[in-house]
Amino acid sequence: MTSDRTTSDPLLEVDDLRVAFHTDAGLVRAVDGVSFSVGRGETTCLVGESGSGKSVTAEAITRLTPSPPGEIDGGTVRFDGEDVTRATDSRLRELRGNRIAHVFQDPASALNPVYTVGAQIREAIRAHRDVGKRAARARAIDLLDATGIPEPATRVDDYPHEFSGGMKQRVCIAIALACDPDLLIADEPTSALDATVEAGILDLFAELRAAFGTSLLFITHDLGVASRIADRVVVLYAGRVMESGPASAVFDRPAHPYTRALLACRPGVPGGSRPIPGSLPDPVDPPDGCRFAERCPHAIAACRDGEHPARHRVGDDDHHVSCIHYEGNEGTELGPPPGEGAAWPAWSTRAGGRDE
Amino acid sequence: MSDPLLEAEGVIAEYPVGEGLLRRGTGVVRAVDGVSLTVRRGETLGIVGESGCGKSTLARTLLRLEEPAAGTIRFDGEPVCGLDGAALKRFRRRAQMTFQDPRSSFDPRRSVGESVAEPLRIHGLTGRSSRRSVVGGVLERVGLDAGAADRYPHELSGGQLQRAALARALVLNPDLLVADEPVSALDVSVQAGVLRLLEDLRTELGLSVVVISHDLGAVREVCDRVAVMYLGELVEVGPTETLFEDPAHPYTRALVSAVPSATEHGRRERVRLTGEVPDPADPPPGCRFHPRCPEVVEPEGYAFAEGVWRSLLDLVVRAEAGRLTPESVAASIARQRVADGNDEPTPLGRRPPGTDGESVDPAGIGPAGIDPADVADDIAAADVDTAVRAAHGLPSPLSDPDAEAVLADALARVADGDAEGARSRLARSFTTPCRERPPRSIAVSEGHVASCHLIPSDGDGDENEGTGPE
Amino acid sequence: MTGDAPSAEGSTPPDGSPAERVPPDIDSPDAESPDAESPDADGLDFREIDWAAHEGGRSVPRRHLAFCGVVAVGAVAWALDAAVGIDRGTRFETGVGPASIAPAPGHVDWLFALTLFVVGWAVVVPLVRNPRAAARYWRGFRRNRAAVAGAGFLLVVLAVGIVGPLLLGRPSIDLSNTYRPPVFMGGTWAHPLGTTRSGEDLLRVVVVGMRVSMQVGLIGTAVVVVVATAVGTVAATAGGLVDEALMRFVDVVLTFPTFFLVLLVVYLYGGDLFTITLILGGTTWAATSRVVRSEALQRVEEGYVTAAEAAGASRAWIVWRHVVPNVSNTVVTAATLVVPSLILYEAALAFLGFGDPDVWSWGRVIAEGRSDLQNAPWIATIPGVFLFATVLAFNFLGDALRDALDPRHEADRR
Repeated sequence: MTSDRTTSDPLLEVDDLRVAFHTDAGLVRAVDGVSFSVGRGETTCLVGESGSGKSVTAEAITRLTPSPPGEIDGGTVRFDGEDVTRATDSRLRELRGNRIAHVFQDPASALNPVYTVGAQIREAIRAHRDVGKRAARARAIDLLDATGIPEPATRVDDYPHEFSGGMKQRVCIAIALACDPDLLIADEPTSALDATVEAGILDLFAELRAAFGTSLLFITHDLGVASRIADRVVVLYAGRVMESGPASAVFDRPAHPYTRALLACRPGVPGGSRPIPGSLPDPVDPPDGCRFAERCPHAIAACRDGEHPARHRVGDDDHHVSCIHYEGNEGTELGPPPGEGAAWPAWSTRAGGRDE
Repeated sequence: MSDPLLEAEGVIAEYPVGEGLLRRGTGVVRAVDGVSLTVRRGETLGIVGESGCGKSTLARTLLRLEEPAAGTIRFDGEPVCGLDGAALKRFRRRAQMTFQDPRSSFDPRRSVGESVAEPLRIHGLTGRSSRRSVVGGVLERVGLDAGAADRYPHELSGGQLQRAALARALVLNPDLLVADEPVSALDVSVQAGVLRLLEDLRTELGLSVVVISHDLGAVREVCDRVAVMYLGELVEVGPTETLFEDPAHPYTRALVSAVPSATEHGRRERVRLTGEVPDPADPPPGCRFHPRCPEVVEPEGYAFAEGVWRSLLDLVVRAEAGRLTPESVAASIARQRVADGNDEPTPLGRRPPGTDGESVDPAGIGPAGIDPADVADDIAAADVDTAVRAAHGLPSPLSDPDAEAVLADALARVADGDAEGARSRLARSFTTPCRERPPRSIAVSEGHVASCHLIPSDGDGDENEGTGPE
Repeated sequence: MTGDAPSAEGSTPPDGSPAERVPPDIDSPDAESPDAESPDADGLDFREIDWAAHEGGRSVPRRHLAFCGVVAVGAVAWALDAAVGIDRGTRFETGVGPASIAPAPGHVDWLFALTLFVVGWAVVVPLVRNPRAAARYWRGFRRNRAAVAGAGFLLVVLAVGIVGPLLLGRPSIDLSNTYRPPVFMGGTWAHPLGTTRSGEDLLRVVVVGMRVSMQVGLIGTAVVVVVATAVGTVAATAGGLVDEALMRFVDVVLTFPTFFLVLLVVYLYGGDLFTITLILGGTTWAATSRVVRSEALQRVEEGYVTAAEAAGASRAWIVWRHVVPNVSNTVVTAATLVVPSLILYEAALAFLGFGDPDVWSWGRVIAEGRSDLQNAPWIATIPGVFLFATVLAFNFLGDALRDALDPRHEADRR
């Protein structure tokens, strides 16, 4: 992320972001030095378990972090070259919903049950655009059409309860698109949905990106979902970035033991899933060194000392990993953990075959 | 293995619909419509389907948490529906259930230990210290430390609570465990552990388990057999691997192909389902899946190119739903006109830079307020024809001349404002065996049955008329 | 998952560190006393229980027996007092002196004692038995400084109201000491708050008024809480015709003109404090029962109710163990708003002259001091200030309790 590039600058640059929450138990550093970027027209996936800080990161981008008890206490968020962490409240309101729009996990609670979906889309449009009612209505119909809702001209006057869960999420996406944002932040938008509906929504995101060129920051706990739409993947664990890189590189050659564990724990993977032992570290008093060390099959004594491991490059792409095992031997691949031997999935040959 | 633990036959579950909520809601919705299945001793049976297909209602009905409207359920050879008093309480002890959201299934005011001990108290285990030791033991068995007993639900993570929920179900040492969506509320990273626990408990305790889920990955992980449910009916039942490797029903094929897989990065061939799950209050006739089925059987006497029949049937479905009207077509024509009038390729395209507030389209807003009603009067029949064909991806003309004649006639009627005429014309001419009669369940192979017209029935197979497999 | 560090859900870091452990107490709030059964119970495994031996087994906890016993003894004593008790007329003729130190209890006093016992049982005992929950509520509660001050004030009022009349004696007429100003207006310490037109010591008047206000507020509210909880939870869980009938009855009660009922009773029987209190309690529960019902309707839908049902629990068990405890926050919050309204209602009745003529209610004193506002403003204002402060304190308390008890506010602690 050098600053001499200007035209091809990423749309969103998050650098060393830190968000802390004051709790009864003590200070919880939910996001502890997270850096990543979202290129123009690109889809970046933040992947991690509950408590990894992925949603907190997403909220902090438009400073939606509830404060108190939350506090952004370090780092910068640059959107289109502008430091959002220092923007005034009125400037933030101009950005939110207009240039940066959010889609949330639960579409049922994101829609107001007493207004028609058309009214809610119109409201989103007119919050930032000075247009007449009829023009806004026409645009609302177009948006519903673009988000794959059949018969948009009649459905626009329906109330949220008349839509199914998947259709509600499409409406939420239509609202997010109302002002033609540059960046769409989708926080687990498919977690509450069935697999078949989820597939449709993921297709929709891909179509919208092609049609509008919108950049997408997509948050999920499921690498399977990420693999469907991501250009870049950022893997978070306990508030820190473990691995980041182009999706093809991360999925074909997962470097960090945590990423591999996440891939191997998905139910239904061929050969049976393997759970990740242990649980997230205490957020109030995280361990020294690598925070995944307690659960890592590769962990050695050096993993538990000092700071978070430095970033190391893997392969040729912009693929980075924070793991002590890559120190000094960048570009090589970590073997199976001790004791796993041949049972360990061979990532590079794309284990699979059940869905050929 | 020979005698099943739980047998259900022709189970129908209904619930009344609130007045005025559904426009044609006159009484009851059949959430489960004639389901027959068996749960063998020591096996794990998966029931999969999309939300709203009635699988949770089925689970609750099997345990008689809801009264079935019809059908019989036998548990260990004894009919469940007649039980009351002490006999019902004994059945409750032997057949336990866990619920979808572990967080809401624990009383926030009671410690986890109290909640896990509750079934013991209900069933008369009065000794406090014996209860405590039982609870401690069962919590450890599900992988929680004994200290978890003194925690409150909000102090545990979702995965820990799901384990505690399993502990509460197991503390009575039941014979049958019904797990409703055991992992769908959990992080992917935690799911594997809970599923593995479920598997371990089954082998260790000799349980029979029914797993209800919309997540085929989870079901594949733990189940011996899988039943696929669609809109209140079972469409396919079979051994897990057979069903995943060689699904017999088009709906199962669609479900299987929708499972996201991280090992196959990128887009792969997926069966796309058109339309939405129909309203269970008014299910489609014949095979309930036919309005969305990608492999719906073509009518005799027509010859269509690939995919055209499905598109044509979508149009029929639209007409049947009363949405193929002059107004709805006019609306799409109006938007198309505005789009064509502008130079922009699509009314929703990104606005060109620097034209903010100056162009005809001040804010990137598309068609500036054209009322469909204004257009409805002056649309030409040709426009309707083009617009509808474009919207449904139908070629002009259709390769089959008979079909083309019907379609052209129906669209002309739409242009004349005769939506009802168009509907009956389409529905009369374009029909399919899938619509005309419900499919019978046919044995595909040993223990694998499916209900689909596509499956050739050799001879008289398994003739359970319209009641679903098994 | 086997670790005991709680992992965070979403953006909510967890609370409850391992340090917050308490000794194991699986059945805390309702457990019966330790039983003598199976000294080797420590090894009991859930697979080894012989369920046939436990079928139909049900025991009433000794704690519940104790509670019922105390209530029964109180009721019998009260009945005896009512039947063969001391002539109540003498109580109000006593002057200053030893005779007034132990006045014979009236119906209200019996009821008040019973109410205090029930409140202690339903509120204090569970808090003592469950110190962690108590600490959690206290942490939430103490954020509201005004409410803490209000609670302190109310405790003082309650204590002084109970003990004060016994120590100070009841106010008596002393025509040689009329219109004495309070100390801060140049009076003497013999009468710190001054005296009334008839020479009654205002301090004693105020202290007796404390007892009256607390009696009206607490007894009336206890009636409201019991009736509203019973009606609300039964309506919500029974549903159907029972629900319909109960709610229509609530409508009738809600539209009932309480004021005229009081007038009628006072006219027919002479309004003593006991009757007025019961009428007030018996006519104000309706609104609360509606709130309880709507809350209970949501609770009935919760997963833990279904879970208990699936475990074989009876409907009564579900109502008593799950619905009532989970609507108690709503009830308590509503109750703290009922108390001041009842106190004000009683004061208003006394002010208008419909109160118990034998009772030194603040409202009555304010009414008496009304004509002397020019020359002796303290007669009306001092009880007025106490009335105002008491009502205000209850309102502060209600606000803080609502915040502290509402589980949805747990998130605040993140």
